[in-house]
Amino acid sequence: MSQKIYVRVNASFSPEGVVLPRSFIWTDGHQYKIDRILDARMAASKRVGGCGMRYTISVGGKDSYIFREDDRWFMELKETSC
Amino acid sequence: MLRTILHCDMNNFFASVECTRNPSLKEKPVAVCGSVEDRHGIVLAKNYIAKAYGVKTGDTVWQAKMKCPDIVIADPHYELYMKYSKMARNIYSEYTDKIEPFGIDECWLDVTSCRDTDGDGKTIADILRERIKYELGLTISVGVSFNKIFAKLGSDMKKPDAVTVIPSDSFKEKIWNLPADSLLGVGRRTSNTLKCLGIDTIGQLAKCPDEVLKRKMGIVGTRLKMYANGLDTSEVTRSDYVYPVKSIGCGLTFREDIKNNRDAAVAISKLCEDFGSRLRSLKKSAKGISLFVRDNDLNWKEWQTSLPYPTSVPKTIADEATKLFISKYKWEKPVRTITVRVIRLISEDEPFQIGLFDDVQNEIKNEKLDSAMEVLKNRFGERIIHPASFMNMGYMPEGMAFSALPAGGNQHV
Repeated sequence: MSQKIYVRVNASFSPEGVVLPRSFIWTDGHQYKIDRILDARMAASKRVGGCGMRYTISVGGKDSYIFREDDRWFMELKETSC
Repeated sequence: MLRTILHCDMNNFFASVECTRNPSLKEKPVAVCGSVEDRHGIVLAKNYIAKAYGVKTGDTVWQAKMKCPDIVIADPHYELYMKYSKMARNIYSEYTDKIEPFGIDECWLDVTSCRDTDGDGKTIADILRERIKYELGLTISVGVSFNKIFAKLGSDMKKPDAVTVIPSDSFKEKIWNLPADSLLGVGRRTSNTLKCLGIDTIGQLAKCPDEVLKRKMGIVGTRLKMYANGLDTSEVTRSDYVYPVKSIGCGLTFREDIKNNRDAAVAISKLCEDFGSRLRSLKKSAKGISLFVRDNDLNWKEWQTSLPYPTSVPKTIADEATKLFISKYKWEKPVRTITVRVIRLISEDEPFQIGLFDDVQNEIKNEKLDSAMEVLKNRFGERIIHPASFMNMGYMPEGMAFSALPAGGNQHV
């Protein structure tokens, strides 16, 4: 099972209205800088439910998704079995 | 030129939204049901797993649980459904501005003008189907045809997540063998009438002589025959088209049955409470009212009457509706549901003849009172002021009943 994690995000807002996430604070309290945004498109999250603008981001060499759903941001926590 | 009309139907909409919001429900039987406490405890929508157990829309919650003991009952979230519906329409609007909603989860689209850029009807339908699935996590069924009736029929033929094309050159082979009641406009009663005429299929309806249909069903019969022959020419309205308001209504199923005229009168006043502001915002007055009453055996009756003069004053409307109720309802059974509608709306500026004995001063006074209450409610919230008769209406649904204000001093929880 995956979990929907709402996160605090720092984002930039361009004069044209383009919103891009720059960093986020994960559940461990650590702030992670987003190195690159690889893609942005409307999509549904099949893992945890919900839909909105989905950004494919690169953080520390790893790719991940961050979703902007209305005024909130969430990420998918992939739970691994031991 | 033949048109290309699409009818997009979001599959099991309410239940699908609940499942896409909470993917852990996807493998379980799910039904979205109204509140049992407010006596709306029926199945509003179900997913395909629940359907396989025989759960039907309109079943009561206990019936659904009898058929499928493991069913997950979900509360409805109308704001969420509105949001998903709007998002779907935003996707449709990228292809055409001719989008006509048919309920919250269905739309007709006229894509005739974008065939050159986006491809034929089937191609556009497939693009929409894939986009809705990818972007919203929901599935749609799309009917593609040259008129609205056949497009709607097509979207019902294959579900879920499918496209059905009913072409102009082969529609007879494709749909004339289908039952007549699969056609839009043929409900249970019409279907029974058609059966009496020996008409079971769309093809038989298409070939039935006009006189026979007209004699038995009037103009509706000939219109249905036109539909069956693919001759529906109704336009898909533009997405910004505003339908003229013909009536305004408010109805409630009460938490407890109403058993006397006094409670019925108070309930009717409560139902009419917002008519003043709603009519004023439309710059309309009402010339008549319609009253719908359902008893606790689910039998119902509806009556209409004219108002003494066109008005937008809730008190006048409520008084007339109460008079109508008292004169018509015979109290064979307690009352479960009442709906009041104001009908025959005219412009508030339209002149009218005042009767010799009409109390105009009182009418003006009531209008001023209602406007003052509206100002207060807009500034301080809906519950800031209300008639004293609305206190302690135990039979009203949650959130609508007012209780007496607490007395001062210490309160114990």
